[in-house]
Amino acid sequence: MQAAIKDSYDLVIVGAGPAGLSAAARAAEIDREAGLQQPSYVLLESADAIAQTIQAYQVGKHVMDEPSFLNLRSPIGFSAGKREDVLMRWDTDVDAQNLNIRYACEVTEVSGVKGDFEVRLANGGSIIAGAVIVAAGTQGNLRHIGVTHDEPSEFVCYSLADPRIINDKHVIVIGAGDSAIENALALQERNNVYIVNRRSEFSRAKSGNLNAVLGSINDARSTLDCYYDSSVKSISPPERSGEMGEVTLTTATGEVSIACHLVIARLGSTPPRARLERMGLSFSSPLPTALPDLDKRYQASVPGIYVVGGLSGYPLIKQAMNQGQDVVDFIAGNDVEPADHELLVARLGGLYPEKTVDETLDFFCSRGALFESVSPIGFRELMIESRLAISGSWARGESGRDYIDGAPTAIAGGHHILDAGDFVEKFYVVMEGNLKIRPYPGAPWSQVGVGQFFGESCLFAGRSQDASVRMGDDCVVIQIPRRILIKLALSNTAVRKQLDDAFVFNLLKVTFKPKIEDDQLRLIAGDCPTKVFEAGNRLFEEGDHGDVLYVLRAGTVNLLQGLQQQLVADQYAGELVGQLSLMGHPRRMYSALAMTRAECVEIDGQKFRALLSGNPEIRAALEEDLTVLLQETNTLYTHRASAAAMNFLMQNGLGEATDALIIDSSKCVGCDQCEVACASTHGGVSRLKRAQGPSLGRFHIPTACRHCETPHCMKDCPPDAIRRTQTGAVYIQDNCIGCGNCEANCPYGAIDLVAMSNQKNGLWNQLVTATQRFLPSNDIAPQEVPAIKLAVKCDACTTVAGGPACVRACPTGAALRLGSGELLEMIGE
Amino acid sequence: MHESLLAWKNYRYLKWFVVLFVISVAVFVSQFSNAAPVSGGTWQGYMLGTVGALLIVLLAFLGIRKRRYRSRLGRVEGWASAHIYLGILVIFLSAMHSALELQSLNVHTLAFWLTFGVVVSGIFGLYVYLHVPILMSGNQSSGYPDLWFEELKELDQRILDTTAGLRGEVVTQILSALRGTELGGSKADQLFGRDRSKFLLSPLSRWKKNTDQRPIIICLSETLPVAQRKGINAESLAEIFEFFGRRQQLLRRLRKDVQYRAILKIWLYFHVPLTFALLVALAVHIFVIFYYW
Repeated sequence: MQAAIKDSYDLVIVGAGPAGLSAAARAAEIDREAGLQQPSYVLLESADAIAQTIQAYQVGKHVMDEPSFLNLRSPIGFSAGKREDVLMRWDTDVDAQNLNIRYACEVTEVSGVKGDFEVRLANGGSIIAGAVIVAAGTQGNLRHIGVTHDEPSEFVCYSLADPRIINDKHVIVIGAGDSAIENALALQERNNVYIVNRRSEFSRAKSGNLNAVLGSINDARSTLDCYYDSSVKSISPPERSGEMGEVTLTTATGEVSIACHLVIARLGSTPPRARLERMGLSFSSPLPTALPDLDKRYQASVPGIYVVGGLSGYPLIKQAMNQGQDVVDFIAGNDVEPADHELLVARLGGLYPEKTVDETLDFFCSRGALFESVSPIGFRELMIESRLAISGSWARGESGRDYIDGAPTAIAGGHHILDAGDFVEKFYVVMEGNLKIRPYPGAPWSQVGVGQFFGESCLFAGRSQDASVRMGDDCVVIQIPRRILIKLALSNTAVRKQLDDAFVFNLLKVTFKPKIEDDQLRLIAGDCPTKVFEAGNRLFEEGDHGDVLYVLRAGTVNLLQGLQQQLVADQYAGELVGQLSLMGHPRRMYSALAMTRAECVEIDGQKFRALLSGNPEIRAALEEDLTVLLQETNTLYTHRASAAAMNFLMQNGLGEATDALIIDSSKCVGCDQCEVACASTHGGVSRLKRAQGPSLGRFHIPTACRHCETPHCMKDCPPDAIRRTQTGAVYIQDNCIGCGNCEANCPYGAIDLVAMSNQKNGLWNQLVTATQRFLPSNDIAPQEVPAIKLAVKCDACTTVAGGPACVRACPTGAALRLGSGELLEMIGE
Repeated sequence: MHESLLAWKNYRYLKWFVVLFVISVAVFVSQFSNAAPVSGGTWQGYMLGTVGALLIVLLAFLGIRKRRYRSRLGRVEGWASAHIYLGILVIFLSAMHSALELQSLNVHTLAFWLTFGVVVSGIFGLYVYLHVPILMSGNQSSGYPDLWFEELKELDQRILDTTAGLRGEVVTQILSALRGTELGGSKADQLFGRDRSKFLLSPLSRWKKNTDQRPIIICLSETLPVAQRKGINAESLAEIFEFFGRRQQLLRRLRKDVQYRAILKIWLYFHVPLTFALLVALAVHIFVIFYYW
């Protein structure tokens, strides 16, 4: 043990990671400018080298410099590159700037007040500090899997230093973050790797990793596979060292057991909250994911203590380094603007000339409860990704305001933002004035006021919705892209809860149109639990005694009847399941099977009656709907062929389709006019392949986009180029970069990467071709590979007047386009 | 599924057909009260001829409309439905227009017989369009051609792999049967489902027919019982024998599919050129009539 050291500095920086190094370097700069001989700061590092988190990265890992729109602001250099290069550069910079670092110096406690803190060290010493910057990162507490046998062992580990020592093994990597992806990618070169993702997409990954992992997962030759929507149910370690153990996963389609040699869990980490709380710092909520309360100068609830980097909720290196520099300037009294300042100035468009950017953001955050729990730093990020829509006096504006990229969009008051039947792709939060909303056709118009929001349904059900929304007069609205809202809802449970509640409230309002006060409805809504049924699970069984009904909020449920469990009906988001036992017979007439992951709002008899009380019209309407359903189920039950056809269509994913091309093969003459029509209206490339795809009887499902309820292609598009029109057509914008994620993500093969051409097949060529050899040739002639390929898919002819060219060009009426609700109709005929 | 091509918009063009047919018969019959004999030269004859010629031009326009993929001038299905009914009407109009004065052979009767040829080929085409898709979808009840090609490729690869363990003439037979398999070929071959596959009995022999893969299967069935005696790997050979059975099945189905596709197209090889010839003959017919007025 070292002898107790007691010394004193103006500034103590805890943690020599990117943020800490940057802070120390800036402090050294200020010292030099002031001509000080002795450093006024000290950087304390618990390990014996800088940047432990990055040291722990695997050898050769590519370190990213996201977010790309942000400039680096630090005396320490950093750019994307190999782990070794990044570390070497930092070491060089640390030496060159002669930073005052103490290694192997772990901080155990901080006490005192601003100007006179005592920083106690594990080695017994202590340091007196004027201010403390905590830049300790989050690596302290790694998240565990949370099942028995998940403790670190030879079979289960939580880090991977060198993947090259693992060869010819079966490895399961758990997690969907960057470290999990990087481990999986490095391991797959010499091993069989399964990556287990709790969600259906890699929403937390940086784009470079995202492309690489999706490319690998979808490359049939690679040894990397992914289980989406899956979690670990149990782990059974091998009986003897070196043998294979087993991991059982709960997946969207049921349980799967995988034998493997090694489990690597990269589940991220939680902030070392206890240590910060001992310093007296308060947190935003008791949730485990909560962040310390910080002001926009990164100062915590204890004046004089500052928190930057991963601990402040921003884990990216560049952001941490910028924060490190900025916080030292703030402490030194230099009033600098953060690096993303210019971007925000553009977004806010000078709407509030009397307010600074920070004040405007604070003001926005304080409007309504939604953003209450969002940290100032988190809100900055959200605003950078969003756009403002303005109307009335806000739009007229002051002279000289520059309309630059990302500036607020002026929309006339009363202008339609959404109509009934539209799909919602944005989330709207009102900051000034109000939006006019009609929850369903025929309902009275009401207002969405300041702090209220609309569009939460885009998070849940990918179906068209019933509300109409119009821009109000003198209105300022934040339009948040769906992608950003999802990110926020995933990381902030308080936000998620509000969105959830609002969604259930609106769902009940649209479904039951209750004649009760909104407040009362809100109470009922808050009391209706949402149940999730994984694909393949049953909501209830035929013959059960039922006293609850479900409003389906996302997914598809099939009703099955009889000994053979024959399919008799399909129910989609927004529809009721199990209402018969509350309205008619108390025993379930059908079994209800979740075809996709189904989220259901459960309503018991008491609430059901409350919702219908004093509302005979809606009760009559529900009864009528039920009569129609009963007739439909009877039709399918008594027509075996129809039921088989329905089953076939469901098995082939038509359940999630909103606009699918179906070919009646008893009419199709194979003329391929549909393909030719598609190609000639879409730059010479057909987006459908008539001859491919499954068939049953006369139903043929060609390979073409079905415009899914929740489009698989839209997840993980780096330039956010895949959009959905308000009519539901999913299309790819010109800013496609050809990364191939969507092609890989589409389960139906409906997206192709092609080099666009405008070549037309002339009449002569179509009619006169001498001989055709149908056998595929084995010789692969070297073909010229065009430089850039772009993703193309069916856009439902949104740009073609007159509607889908494939259907209009079919000479025999074999080509049909159907939404999922129309399947039954088609089969019934 | 909605109605068939013939029933487009609740039999709209059948109704047109009936109305136009009744009117044209009435016009035709009205000639019998004339002093002049019934012919194309009466005003009724001219009228029937004019309407017929206009219809022919209109019907031929389907070929253009169906290639105007951006056109909003009705759906092609509607055009096709009209094409069928009005096309059949044209043959009646031509017959009444000519008053069946078809004894001599000249440009006028040529135009009639071309019209007849076009309509008859069209009716055949209609028959094919209504029936062959059903046969074709029956043939495709398990999978579709692209899938079969995939399977065939895989099967061939497995046969190749398994053959690596064999020796002697049987290797030549197997490999040549793979190499000599034909599918498609000339239009006639496709249309009649002719199989020109061939194989070699031994490296120096001449190519033999391997129709429907039957000869190679017979060949293998003869070799298999004596394989052990001749020191040929019987297990591999048995496997290959089975593979060829599966291959035969796939090729039959593919050949059927090719044949159906050929039938669906063949009538157009008459219908379209005859239409062009008809348009020319019609133009000459009209020109001659007015020139020698």
